[in-house]
Amino acid sequence: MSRSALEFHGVSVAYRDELVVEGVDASVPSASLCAIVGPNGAGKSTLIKAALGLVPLASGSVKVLGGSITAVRRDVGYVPQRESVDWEFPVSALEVALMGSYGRLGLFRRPGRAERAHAMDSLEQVGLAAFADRQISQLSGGQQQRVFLARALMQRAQLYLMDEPFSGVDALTEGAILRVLGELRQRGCTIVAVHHDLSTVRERFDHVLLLNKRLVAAGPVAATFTSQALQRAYGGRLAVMVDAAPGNAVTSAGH
Amino acid sequence: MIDPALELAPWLTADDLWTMATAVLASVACGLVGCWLVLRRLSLLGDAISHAVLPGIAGAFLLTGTRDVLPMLLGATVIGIATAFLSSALGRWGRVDRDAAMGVTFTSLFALGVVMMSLAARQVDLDPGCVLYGLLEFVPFDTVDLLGVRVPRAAAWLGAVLAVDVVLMLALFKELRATSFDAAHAASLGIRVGVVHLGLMAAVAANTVVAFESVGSILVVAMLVAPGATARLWTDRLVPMLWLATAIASATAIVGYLVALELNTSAAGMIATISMVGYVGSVGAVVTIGATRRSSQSGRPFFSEPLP
Repeated sequence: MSRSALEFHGVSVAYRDELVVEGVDASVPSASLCAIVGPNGAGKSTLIKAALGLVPLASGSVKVLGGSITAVRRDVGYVPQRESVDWEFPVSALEVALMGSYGRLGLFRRPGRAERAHAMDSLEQVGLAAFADRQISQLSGGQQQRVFLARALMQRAQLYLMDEPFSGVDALTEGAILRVLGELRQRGCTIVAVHHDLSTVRERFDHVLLLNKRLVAAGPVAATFTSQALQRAYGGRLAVMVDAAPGNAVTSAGH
Repeated sequence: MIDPALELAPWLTADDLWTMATAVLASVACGLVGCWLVLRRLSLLGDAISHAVLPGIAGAFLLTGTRDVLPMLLGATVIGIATAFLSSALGRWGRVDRDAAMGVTFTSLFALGVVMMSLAARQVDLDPGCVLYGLLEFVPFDTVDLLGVRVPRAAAWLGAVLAVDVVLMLALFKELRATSFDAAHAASLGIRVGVVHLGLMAAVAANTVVAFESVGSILVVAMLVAPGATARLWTDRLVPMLWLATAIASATAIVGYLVALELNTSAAGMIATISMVGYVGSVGAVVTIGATRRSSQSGRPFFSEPLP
């Protein structure tokens, strides 16, 4: 499994006429847990959306699971930022999880008994089986994040792209997400996650992309996640730096 | 269908019942499509499109010289899609936010429509006032033969549009739900988010135009928003919300028409007024009941039973 799950070749993305991602060349090896790290406005979410084909590329190309995203959509799960949707929307946790099956079902087919059972399994996996019939606005932030994860698990994908899955979650949710990520990894899945908390990059991920519009560094965490690289990515906006010897990490980053 | 109803309510004429049925069809068609606008937080877009279709209607008049529904429907649907497209393009490229782009697009199209209407009025018998307020009371005088039954032309068209709405909604239910809740995720699944959006806008335009002639734009705008918004207050589930909106739209049309008959006033105006009363009343009721429940025990919403 030395093939790359995700490859960026000279990828640039522009909003109106301003480049937000510039000439990124990077690859994520299969079966790895990869963090995308960088300051606010570094284009981390945009890079994920570019991989999913949700934003047009100004230049360059992306290879997903060895091919074009349009050919492998079913095998790619997406966990957007929790803040990106209206949680007052009238659906239950189970119904949100079921949405993960919509791609595989295609036009005009409805989720049936098999999909419902599978959706319950996915909720069970994230510890939300008891909340299946809850309206989503009645869930806590962490539970909402786990519903998103369950929806992605429904896809039984090979590659999971997550936008800040750990942002603002409680300890219980953090544990549940970590457990799921571990299980996915064991099945040979690749996970790429935008990550904000620099202090946990080393323990949770084995690969890292440091981004600040341009790619600053990419590679295995041990060799890549150094204080010099971080200093370059954050441009001196790091408030406290601990020397990046193995085990030590940056403790705080200014935004 | 008409005769037994007449026995129940002998003070109503058959014409009254047909007019009421037409108002119910218009309200339900607009109310159902409007539910999706409410859910997508696009209620104002529905309002805007229903005004922007005016140049489409006027253009169809000018080109064909008749008041046939079909050319109007085509003209307005094209304009409806074009305006949805134009406002999002302006929002993206014009360096203004979405609201401003919408405001510019729709007011200018409405103005263009008014100019075109007054030009068209010289050629065909057309009263711009009718388009605004509608002439619900005149519905029974313009009938078509449908399987041997004399049916008001407006009711036949509205029934057809409602049928198309329902079929499309059933066929594309999961696409509508997924794109309304989380458009980015839906797109990542390969659902054509843009096509669904433009399709919904086309449906809004088509409903608007067909309802325009009989019930007028004021009622159209009210019925696009009020039933969905009111139903949303009472339930936390999508399918019950759609049923409830249908019931509310029907009840509002019937009550509004009867009250208008009693007070001898504009039926469309009264129905729109009743829908507003229903919404405000619901807000009050839900707030009161919610406060009572919270002080007693759980904060569970009403009718939140799971889907079948």
